[in-house]
Amino acid sequence: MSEQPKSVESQGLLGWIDARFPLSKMMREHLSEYYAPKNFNFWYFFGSLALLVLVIQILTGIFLTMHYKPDAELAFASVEHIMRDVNWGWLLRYMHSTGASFFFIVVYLHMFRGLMYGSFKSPRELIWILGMLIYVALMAEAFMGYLLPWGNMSYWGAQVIINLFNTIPVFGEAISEWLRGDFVISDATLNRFFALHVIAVPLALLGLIVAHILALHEVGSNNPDGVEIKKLKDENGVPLDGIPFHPYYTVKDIFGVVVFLAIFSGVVFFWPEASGYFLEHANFEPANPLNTPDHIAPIWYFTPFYTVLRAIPNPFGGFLMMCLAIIVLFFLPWIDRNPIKSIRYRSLLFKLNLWVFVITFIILGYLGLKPVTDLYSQLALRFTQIYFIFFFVLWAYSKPRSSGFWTGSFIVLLGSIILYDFFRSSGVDDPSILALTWWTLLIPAAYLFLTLLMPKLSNWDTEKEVPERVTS
Amino acid sequence: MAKDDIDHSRRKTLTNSVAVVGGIGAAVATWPFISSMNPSASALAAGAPVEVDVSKMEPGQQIQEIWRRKPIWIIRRTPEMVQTLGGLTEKLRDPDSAETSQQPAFAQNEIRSIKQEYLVLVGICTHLGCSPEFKPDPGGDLGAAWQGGFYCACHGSRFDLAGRVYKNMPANKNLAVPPYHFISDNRILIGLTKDEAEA
Amino acid sequence: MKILNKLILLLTLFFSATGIAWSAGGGSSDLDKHVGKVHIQLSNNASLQRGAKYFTNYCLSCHSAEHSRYKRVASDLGIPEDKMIENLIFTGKKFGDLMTVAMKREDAQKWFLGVAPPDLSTHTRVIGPQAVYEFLMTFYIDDSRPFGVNNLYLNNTAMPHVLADLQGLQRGEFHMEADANGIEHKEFSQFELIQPGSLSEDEYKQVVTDIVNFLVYLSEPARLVRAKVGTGVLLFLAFFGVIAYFLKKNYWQDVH
Repeated sequence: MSEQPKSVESQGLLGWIDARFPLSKMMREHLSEYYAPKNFNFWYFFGSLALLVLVIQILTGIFLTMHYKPDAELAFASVEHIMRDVNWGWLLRYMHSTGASFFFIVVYLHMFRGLMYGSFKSPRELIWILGMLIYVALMAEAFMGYLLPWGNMSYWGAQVIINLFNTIPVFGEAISEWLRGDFVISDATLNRFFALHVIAVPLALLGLIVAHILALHEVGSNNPDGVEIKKLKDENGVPLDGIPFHPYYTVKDIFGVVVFLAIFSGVVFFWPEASGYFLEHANFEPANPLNTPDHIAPIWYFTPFYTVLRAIPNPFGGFLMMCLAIIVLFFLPWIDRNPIKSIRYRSLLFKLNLWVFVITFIILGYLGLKPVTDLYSQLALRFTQIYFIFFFVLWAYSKPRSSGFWTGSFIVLLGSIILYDFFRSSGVDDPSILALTWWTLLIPAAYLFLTLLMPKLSNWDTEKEVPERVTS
Repeated sequence: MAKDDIDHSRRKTLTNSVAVVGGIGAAVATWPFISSMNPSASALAAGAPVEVDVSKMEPGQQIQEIWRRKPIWIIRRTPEMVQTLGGLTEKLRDPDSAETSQQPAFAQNEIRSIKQEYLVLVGICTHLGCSPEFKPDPGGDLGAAWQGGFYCACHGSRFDLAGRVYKNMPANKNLAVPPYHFISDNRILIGLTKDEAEA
Repeated sequence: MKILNKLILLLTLFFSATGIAWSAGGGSSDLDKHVGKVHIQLSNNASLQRGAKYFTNYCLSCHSAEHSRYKRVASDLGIPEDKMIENLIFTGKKFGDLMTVAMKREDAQKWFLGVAPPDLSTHTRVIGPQAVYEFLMTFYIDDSRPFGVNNLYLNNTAMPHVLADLQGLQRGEFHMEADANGIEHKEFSQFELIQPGSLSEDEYKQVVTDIVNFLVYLSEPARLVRAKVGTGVLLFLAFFGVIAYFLKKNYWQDVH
């Protein structure tokens, strides 16, 4: 006689499965009995939307792989084959290329939500770190995917980015040759990027995303008030301000998904090149190792970091700063240590600082798309300075500081910037560059004045009382 | 939390409509994906009709063409070859080509062709897809009773000089006749019947 | 409807940002002052058909469109198979074939001063329709060039003026102009028609417009259908969105 399966509440097929696999249990834990705060707002759509874009990318990717040829001789033609000869191939391709950009739009908004509502703070540090790993994996995925059409911009973009590793002292050239498998970007590079793009990174991404969601469901979601709903529970152990994710947030997310799909379809069907921002014009001619496009710019979602890279005259220094600009984000939970999570109860200065950061990020992105001019390279440096000082200010706003702290840090930071300006303008005798150097100093100076001296000079650093329960 | 005045029938209707409309949307959305796996324009172009000039063929000769990446045989039968066909009825599985999937209507006859001189066949065994051999001469290593025809070395299936399969063979269907027609006395277009070409 | 407001705000930001970037980046030459702007109209099937005819007659002997098939062009533009084979396919190619050229790349490089004529399948997507239009409009006599003509859009082009018997030959008039730094440059003033072609200026403009129109189609055949499919998709999503919204509202009565 066989052993009796363990007894379960469900019946029929579901019961048969439940006796062997925790299906109902998982549905309960992650959907119908996962209690989410009832006050999620607009910004809370982007998590599930990111998941949706992932699904779109994987599905369209699988079908594109059926027709694509990872061979330097054939790749470009196979993409045009998809665009022309394969039934609905153009739709699959545009969904995938538009999906790539939308992935970053959604992820940037998702990350900004975390920044606003302090979603990275204890006990959610690990969620944030996993999320950052997802973001980095996504950048790798996008970068390698961008080479595959083997257009001229694919080719030169990859050439420039891989050559960044050349700047590493001693081992640089060896590393970039190892990455390419050749002395320039070539068939070997294309083939390995294909392998990494369709198998390696997606696998890693899936694992990280599962971990990200499991970690979230372990500690529970944050919310726009930054209140821990698990602190107050009813007699059944259900959080007073919690509602089951299913059906409430599933029906809400369905609506969000439809609105998102409408915008997404608008681009896919009516504006797939997005004026050259999603699909660059130069990428419609095949890779040509002898002919660089007039202006090489990375695709838009990389450009903020590309600007940081270009802002530093020393190549290796620029490379390090670019890496640092990403790495610093990993440490956010230990930089912003203010116990108040949500922007709603933080000081006016915190809000201003955050919005300046957003604008800085957008300006850095814009500058990365543009050719370097005297003005733009000055601006790039100034906004790079603000990008990094933002994190110092964030740390400084963690708790009340003495008047001396503010004055001291203002003087030290502004002093270092001016010192660096003297250092870099020694030997420069073009008056227009010198003028630009000193005029643009006003930008970080104003920023430092606002963020470091206003706490002393105003009551803009007043924080609000955090309520016990969520407000809406 | 739940209020009593909630209209649950409306909720049910709405849930059902969202499920149905969403389901329809999802079902329609699968179409581009499924359709993308059908032969592409390049596969269709490669499978376009093929024109063959048979004026240079010797009597008894076989030539091979490719249509839709499949071997297509053209055999110029001698009158002696044609004569063998009539006497085989008893030994064949489907002497009258009753199986309509194996030939266009014009070839549903004893000679399985438009002109008795020219036989056009898809050179793929109807058992498991090997390509049979042309053995035009009677007798030989296939035994004294062999009247000439096609022999599949993979599993031993035998076909006569009209591509009809013998009884009790691994293959249970006659060799297929592709759609074709004569565009002039000596030129055959493989891939389209006359009706299809004129449509 | 706070959500919708936020969404609209976000969209406006997004589009205005790209709009700013676009207006800052656009506009490479000022030749449109002299030859006007090309008006692309993919819904004008007659123009596309004429463009296809000019393209196969004048361009396809040297330029390939190696990713495009005659058959697709015929079915997209509604040209019957026999007409297509008779009037547009010259090289003994089959209806389903790719629009390649017989000329070998190496030969082409020899004949055209070391530059092989670019494949035109996607070229218009790279340089844009206005650029192609300006190129075809601004050939002028220049005896120093191997083919006797030069071009304002693409100086020292290796391409002969294949449309010369239609447009005729024009002479470019230039004057000297000093830039901001006081350095003198040769600047274009105007064209003077020396040897009339078989077409009037307006007729020739129409021919070039037809060719460019066709090239825009050729560089992305899906453009003829994608807006139509997209309209259907958006209508469906609008309908679905409405019921999804009411479903959400219904459930959330429990919460509010």
